Amino acid sequence: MEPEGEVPVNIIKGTCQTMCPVSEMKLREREGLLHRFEILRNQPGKPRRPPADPQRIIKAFSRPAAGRVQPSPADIRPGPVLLRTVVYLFENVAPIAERDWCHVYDYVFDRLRAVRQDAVLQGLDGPHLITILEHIVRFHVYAGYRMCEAPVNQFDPVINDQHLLECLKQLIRLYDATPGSHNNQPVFEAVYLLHNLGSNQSIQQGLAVPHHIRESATVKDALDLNLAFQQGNFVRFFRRSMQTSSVLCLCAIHRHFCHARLHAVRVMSMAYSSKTCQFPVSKLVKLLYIDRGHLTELLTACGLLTDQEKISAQHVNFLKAKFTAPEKVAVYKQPELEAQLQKQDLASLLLNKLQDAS
Amino acid sequence: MAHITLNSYLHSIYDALEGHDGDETAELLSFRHPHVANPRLQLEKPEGPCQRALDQPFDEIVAAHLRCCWAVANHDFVEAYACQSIVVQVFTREFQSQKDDNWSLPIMFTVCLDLRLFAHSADVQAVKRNHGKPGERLEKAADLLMGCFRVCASDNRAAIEDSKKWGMLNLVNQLFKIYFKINKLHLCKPLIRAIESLPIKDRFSLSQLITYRFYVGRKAMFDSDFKAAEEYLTFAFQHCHRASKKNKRFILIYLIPVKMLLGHMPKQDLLRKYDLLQFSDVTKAVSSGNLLQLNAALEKHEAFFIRCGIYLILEKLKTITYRNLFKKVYLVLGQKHHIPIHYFTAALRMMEIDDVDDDETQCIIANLIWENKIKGYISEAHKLLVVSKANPFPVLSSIL
Repeated sequence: MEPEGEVPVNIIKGTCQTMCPVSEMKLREREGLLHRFEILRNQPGKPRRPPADPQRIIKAFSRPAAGRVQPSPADIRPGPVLLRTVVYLFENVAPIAERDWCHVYDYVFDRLRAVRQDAVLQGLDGPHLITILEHIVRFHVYAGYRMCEAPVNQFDPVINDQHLLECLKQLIRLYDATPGSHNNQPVFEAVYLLHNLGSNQSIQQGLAVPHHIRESATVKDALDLNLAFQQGNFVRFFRRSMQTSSVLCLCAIHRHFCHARLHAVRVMSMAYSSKTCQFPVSKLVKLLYIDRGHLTELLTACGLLTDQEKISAQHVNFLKAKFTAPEKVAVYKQPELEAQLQKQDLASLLLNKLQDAS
Repeated sequence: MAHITLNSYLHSIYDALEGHDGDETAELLSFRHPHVANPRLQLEKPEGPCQRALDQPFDEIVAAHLRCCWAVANHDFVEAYACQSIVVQVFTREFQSQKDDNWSLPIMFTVCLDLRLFAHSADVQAVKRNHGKPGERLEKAADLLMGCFRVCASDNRAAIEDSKKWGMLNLVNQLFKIYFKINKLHLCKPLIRAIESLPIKDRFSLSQLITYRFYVGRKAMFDSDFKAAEEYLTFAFQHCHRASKKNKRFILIYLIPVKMLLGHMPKQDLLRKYDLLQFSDVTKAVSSGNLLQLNAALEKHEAFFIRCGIYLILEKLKTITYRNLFKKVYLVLGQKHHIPIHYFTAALRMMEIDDVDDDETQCIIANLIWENKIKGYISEAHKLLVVSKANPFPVLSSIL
């Protein structure tokens, strides 16, 4: 007896061999809906409806809605074409150096979403989907870091995180469900642990992974960082974070730095609380891996420095009564991480072509 | 009952339904009842006879139940789960239409319990055959149970003795079991809120209350609300019948770590009585501030602690172990009020935390002060911990 219902009944097998179905290309050409990354270059004059570049146009995401006809196989890209599309995006679009990278981000985000949609429609799983999802997760983790200082109207970290987690959870489920060993599983288990740093639920899950994965250096480090973070041991937390060899892991953990620093200041306000004691700012700079300017800003936001003191303060006087929790803590890029990112090109990072530079 | 004919079985159900006898009907639909072992009732296509003997929609329910018996006899739990979901779905609709009456509650309890058990077995079987994700059916079963739950929770019209609300706690307990298994604890919160706002929340049967508080206690523990966890788990432990040693042990697995975090160490006798000596070394290590021994104990019983989901909580005992270790340093130095930081660092190094330096030691102490586990302050300029003259290491149970 074979159990039924394992695959959706209306399963489609895509036949589209290009990154964008011909019908969509024609439609978007006609309606002037081409993205500027998709227009045929070096065209004489300025046509009102510029033609698409078949080599560069990629299927856009469109929301499934009630009443929409079931897409035809000719509009759906099979697994290998989806992978090719992702590779193209990372090699040719993501590295585009624009002043506002958010346009690149928006474009790649949308096209990756369409890739996932095609994968779902075909009930894709196994090693193919694993590779695609690994790439997509890398992109969202990287973008989450790169855009961390951007204003919300350019980049919404909540939405990025939603998509990141959706893919990451699916990926982790797939690792479990797909037989064979998966080379990148430790890194992505670690990314999950670090992204959700301090969450009991994710640590619990991290502890439950197969023994050989948990014993891998990457996952062990991620668990150690979680424990240090949970115990409020900010000294160990920052030191160990900076020793992280995987750039991807560092991008994932970076979002927690501001909270760890705030916690440190909160704890120290109580533990060093004495009218006569002073704490050197330079020492705090080292312990918290933060530059002087950002640190004094944080201390001021916590009520420990006045606006005048901020400029030239050499010491801070921690006092329990002075501390007030700021409403919002600013996020800054981390110089150590910037330096690591400079060392490798983006496409290799996103496609995991180089081993992580340590 | 093991050998009756299909017709007499259907007659018994008919009679039970006519008499609104929920208990009897439930028995006849239960997989803990001998009729399920009767080969004459294990039928692949029982629809015809059922339709002739019973009215809508119970003919459909019983037919699905008999097909389920057939599937179970064939050890096909994926099919059994599919059948049982039909039973529950059809029943839920019928149950909702029974206004101002709750005689069907025993039926609901039975069919829902079997649904959860089959979902679990089906998941195990499907994963083994490479036909699905772990927890897939349990999650769907939870949706069906929620369907029943909504029927019960929205029964606002009936008088309290006829209310379907009496079914809520049983379902909540079933759902807890699923959510804990598939690690979706955040879904427990709305259920807890629904129960806590019930006027009858303390009037359910004791066994249901024990199960409920056990899970709510575990949830609180998971959310690091240890005071609440202690309260709920203690209730469960004290009221759990002394004969149910297995359940008492199960409760203790969670109650002991919570008690330890609050500063109460378990006695050896208790650990021995309930075969929980895994905690013995942990207890000794924490009380004596021996981090080395604590790490060794955690490592030795790692698999057990992880399986029970308490490894993380036990990790939290490290903080208390630091406190106990530092208290020793303070005592050894003759209870002086100014203690150089490097003494504490030396103590940590003795515990083989080799990469620790004064900065990290200060950080650990700072956290202990922040948590009120040490009274005093650190002077960075003099590298000293200055402890309070009165009671520098307050008793743990007094602070949390």
